[in-house]
Amino acid sequence: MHNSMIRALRARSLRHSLCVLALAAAWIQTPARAQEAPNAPAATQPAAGHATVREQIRYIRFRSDAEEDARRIEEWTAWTSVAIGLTGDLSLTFEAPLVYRETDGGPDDGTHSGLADMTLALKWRFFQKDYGPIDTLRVALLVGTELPSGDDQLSSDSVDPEIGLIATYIRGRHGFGGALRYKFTTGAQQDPINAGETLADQIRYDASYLYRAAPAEYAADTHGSLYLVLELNGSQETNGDSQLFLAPGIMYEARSWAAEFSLGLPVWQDLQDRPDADFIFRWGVRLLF
Amino acid sequence: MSRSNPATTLLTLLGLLAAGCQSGGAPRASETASSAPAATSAGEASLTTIALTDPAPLKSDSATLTVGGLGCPLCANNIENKLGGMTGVQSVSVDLSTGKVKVGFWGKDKPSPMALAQAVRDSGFTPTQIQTP
Repeated sequence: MHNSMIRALRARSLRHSLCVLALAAAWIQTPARAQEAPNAPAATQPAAGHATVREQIRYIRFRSDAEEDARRIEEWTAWTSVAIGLTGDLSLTFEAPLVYRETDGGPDDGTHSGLADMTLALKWRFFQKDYGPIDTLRVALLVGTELPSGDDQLSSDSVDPEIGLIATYIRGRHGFGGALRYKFTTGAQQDPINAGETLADQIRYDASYLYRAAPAEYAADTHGSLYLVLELNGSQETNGDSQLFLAPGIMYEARSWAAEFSLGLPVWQDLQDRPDADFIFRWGVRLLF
Repeated sequence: MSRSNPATTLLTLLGLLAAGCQSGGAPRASETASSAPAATSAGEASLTTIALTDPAPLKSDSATLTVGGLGCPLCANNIENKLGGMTGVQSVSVDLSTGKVKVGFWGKDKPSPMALAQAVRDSGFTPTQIQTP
């Protein structure tokens, strides 16, 4: 009973911390990357000399029904991303996930929180063709690395390079995105839960479609757009593990802030080295003044 | 008993974060300034087209840039911030429907068409035309 109370208090405390972190990030004054789906990257970036701060809250529930490893896991992540525009077509991005994990069953029964592995990446937009006031095609190269946080349960304690290609195409009310990323894994986490945490290279592939539901046509006084989002987010690891999520969502972009919400549902999971995911909630905010 | 209810927690988060989003509704300085007469009174019929590569400072009190690739409202913010930070720029107003960016100037140190065009490129967009009254 005493342990349950302590666990509940710690969970409440971390959730409050996540809220404060999200709100703090929201108050930072920066321009933003635009037309970027909640999960898939886009070939967009902040202007030279400016920065973008994006805060996303993620909730994932995992389950494993294997007799020797029966457990339920709930994971909250406050994912912070800061991108700095170095030139008009080159940006540097730093990502840091703060994780709270609650495990019921298995060897790691209990709660754990801390900083998971971070990411540092350069995004170079090497192709851009603007067809009109709105329509555009952009392609970017991503080169980065995962950096160890040192956490005993949330870090692989390794430096894992990553390379990727990202494309974004906007035509009128329709936005299309595609991304292919490869991570060269050099170290595994002690107890892998998420994709990319085992000692196997990982291929991530994403496809996104954004439909501008309102307004149908931009006007001189347009100050916001509502988008319906549909994404496919896949992961294939060289150990054979594969996972594919379908993620419908909604996004609102104003000139000074944006908010996004997405629900990721697994449509395919073939996992040997980690538990299945039930679903993923993502809620993100970008706020500008 | 200690396990949290995801739906309740999510709704709490949404409420708190939505409250933060609503506080961002106040107009920025550039948006407020964009309604200044200096940037909106230029008549389309009397505009003169200037070369994007012209290095000489502008002499007029306003200019209208035509820009490509403005896919969404947040894109406009990139240009407003970049142009708004230039010396001599008083106001910036972006019309997403036409890709027209109206820039109002003040003082003696006005930017050149070349500098304005480069600022648009640095924002991630393509300038195609600059016109002045």
